[in-house]
Amino acid sequence: MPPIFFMAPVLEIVDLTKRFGGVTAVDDLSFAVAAGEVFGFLGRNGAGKTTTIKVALDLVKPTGGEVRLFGDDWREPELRRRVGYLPEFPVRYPYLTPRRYLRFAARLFGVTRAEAARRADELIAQVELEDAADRRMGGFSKGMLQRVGLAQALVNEPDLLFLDEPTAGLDPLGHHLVKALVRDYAARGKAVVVSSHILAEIEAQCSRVGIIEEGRLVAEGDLAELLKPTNVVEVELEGPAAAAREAFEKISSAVDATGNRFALTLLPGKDSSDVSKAAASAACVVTALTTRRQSLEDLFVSVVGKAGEEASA
Amino acid sequence: MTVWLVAWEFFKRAFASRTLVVFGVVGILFLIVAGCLFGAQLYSGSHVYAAEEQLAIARAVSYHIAVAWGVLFAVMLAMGAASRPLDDGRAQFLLSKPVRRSHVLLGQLLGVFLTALAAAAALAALASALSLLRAHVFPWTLWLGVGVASLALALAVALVAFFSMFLPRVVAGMLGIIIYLGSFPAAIGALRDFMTGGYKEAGLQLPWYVRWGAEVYFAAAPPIAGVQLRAAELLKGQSWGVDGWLTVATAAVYVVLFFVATWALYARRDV
Repeated sequence: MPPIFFMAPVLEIVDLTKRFGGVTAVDDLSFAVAAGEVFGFLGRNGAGKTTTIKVALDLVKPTGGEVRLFGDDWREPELRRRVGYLPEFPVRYPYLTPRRYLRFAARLFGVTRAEAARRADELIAQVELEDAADRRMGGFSKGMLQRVGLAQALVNEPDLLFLDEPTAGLDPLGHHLVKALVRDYAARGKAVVVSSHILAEIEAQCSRVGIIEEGRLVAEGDLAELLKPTNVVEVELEGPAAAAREAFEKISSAVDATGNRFALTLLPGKDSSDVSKAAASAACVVTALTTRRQSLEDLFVSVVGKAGEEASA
Repeated sequence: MTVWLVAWEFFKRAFASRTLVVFGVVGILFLIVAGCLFGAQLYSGSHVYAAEEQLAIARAVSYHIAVAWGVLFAVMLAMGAASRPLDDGRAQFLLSKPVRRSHVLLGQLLGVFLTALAAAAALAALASALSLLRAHVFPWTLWLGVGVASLALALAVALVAFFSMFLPRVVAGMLGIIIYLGSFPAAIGALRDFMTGGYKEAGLQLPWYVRWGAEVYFAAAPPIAGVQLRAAELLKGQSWGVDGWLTVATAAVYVVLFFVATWALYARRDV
C-alpha cells in the first residue's frame, strides 16, 4: 500500500457551512481523510460533528461549501455503495429480527436474496449476536441495537466508514469488538471516521484527529504531531534511588518515585540532558528515559477551552 | 427494485402495527354484520327481493364498504408515511444506502397504496364470499368497481402525504378526511343545489362570486369520492360518458400534482 499522503482522499470536506435558521452548526469547515486512515472527529455535544457526517451522506443539505466522496460529488447516491454509516441512534425497525433487518439492508445494495442471506449470517457472527438473531429487535438493549447498527454499516464492506459514537451503550466486550473492527478496516486500506466523546478510545485507535468547536475546526493533524511533549520526564535507573531522588529534586518541581522509577516535573529551562547529568551525579545509570506527551484529553481541554475564550472575547 | 423493497417493508410494518390490525378486524366485523344484513334480512323481510335485486344490493353494499374503508385506511396510513421516516431515523438508514430520495418517497407511498388496496380487496373478497354463501352468486363486477376506485385510494394517499409534510400527523389526517368528505358530491349535493340552483329558484339571488366560488370549488376539489361514484356507476352496468373519463383523468392529474408537490418538500428536508 502506498503511503497515505500519496493517496487521493476518499473524503474531502471543503469550506462546509450549515445553518439551521439563525444557528450556525458548521462554519467553514475543511478537512480530508485518506484511505487506510482512522480519523477521530472530536467535539462537545452540539459542536457540529453529526451534522458534518450527515452532510457528507447527503442527509442534510449544506448552506455552503461542498463534499467530495472518492473524488466525486457527494450527492450521487451510487457513491454510497462504498460508504457505511453507523448513526448515533441506529435501528428503527422494532418489528424485524436482526437477520431480516440485515437482509433488508443488504438487498438495498441490489444483491440477490441468497447473497443477502449469506451476508446477514456473516455479520451476525461478526457482531456476536447469534443468540438473538431471530428475535424481534423491539425488546433489545441499547448495546444490542448498537451491535445490529454496526452490522448494517458493514453490510456492503464499505471503503469509507462513518461511526457516530460507535461504543455508546456497549459493554467492554463490545468496545473491544469495535476496536478490533476499526483496526481491521484500516489495515485493509479502508478509511474510518470515528466521532466520539471517549477520548482514550480515539487516542488508541486514530492516526489523525480533528477537533471541532462551535462548528469550526480548532485543531487537526496527526496525533503524534498534535500531542506535544510535556515537561514531565519518566526515568528508570540503576543505582542508589535515595541519592538519585536528592539530585532530581534540584532540577524538578515535583518528583514521583516508585522504586527505581521516577516521574519528574522539570523546572523551566531543564530538559532530559539535565536528568542524565543529575543521575550521573548520584552515581546512577539511566536505563530508560522518555518525555511524557500530552494526552488527547489535555489537548482537547486546552484547544476547546481556548476556542471558547476567543469566542466569548 | 429499491422502491419495491421500501414498499414491501412498509406493507409488513403496517401489518405489524396493532392499531392497524384492530382497524382491519373492525372493518371485517363491520362487513360481516352488513353481510348478514344484506343476506339474511333480505330473505326474511316482508318484501322478498328477486335474485337480481339481491345481487345488485350485495354489490353496492360490498363495494361502498370495501372502498370507503380502504380510503379511510389509506388516509390513516398516509398520515405519517412521507414525513415520519424523515423524523424517526428510518429515512436516515435508507438514504445512507445507495437509495434515491425519490425512491424512498415513492416506496413509502406505494406501500400505503398497496396496504390500503389489500385491505379493500380483503373486504371485497369477504363480501364476495358472503354473497356467494347467501345469494349463491359471485359478484364479479364488484372487483371492477374496486379496481377503478383504487384511483381514489391513490388520490387520498397523495393528498394526505402532501399535507403531512408540513402539518402535524393527526391534523394532516383530519384534513385528508375533510377533503375526502368535502369532495363527496353526493354528501353535499344538497348544499350545491342550494347554493347554485335551488336558492335561485326560491327567488333569492346569491351574489355572483358565491355562485362562481362554489362552481370553482366543485370543479377543482380533488375528486376522491367522484371516482368512487363513477366506479359505482360501472358496477350498476351504466355506460361511461365523457364525465366518467373526465373524473378519472382529473383524479390522475391530482395524484401526479400532489406527488410532485410532496416530492418538492421532501427533497429539501434535512434528515
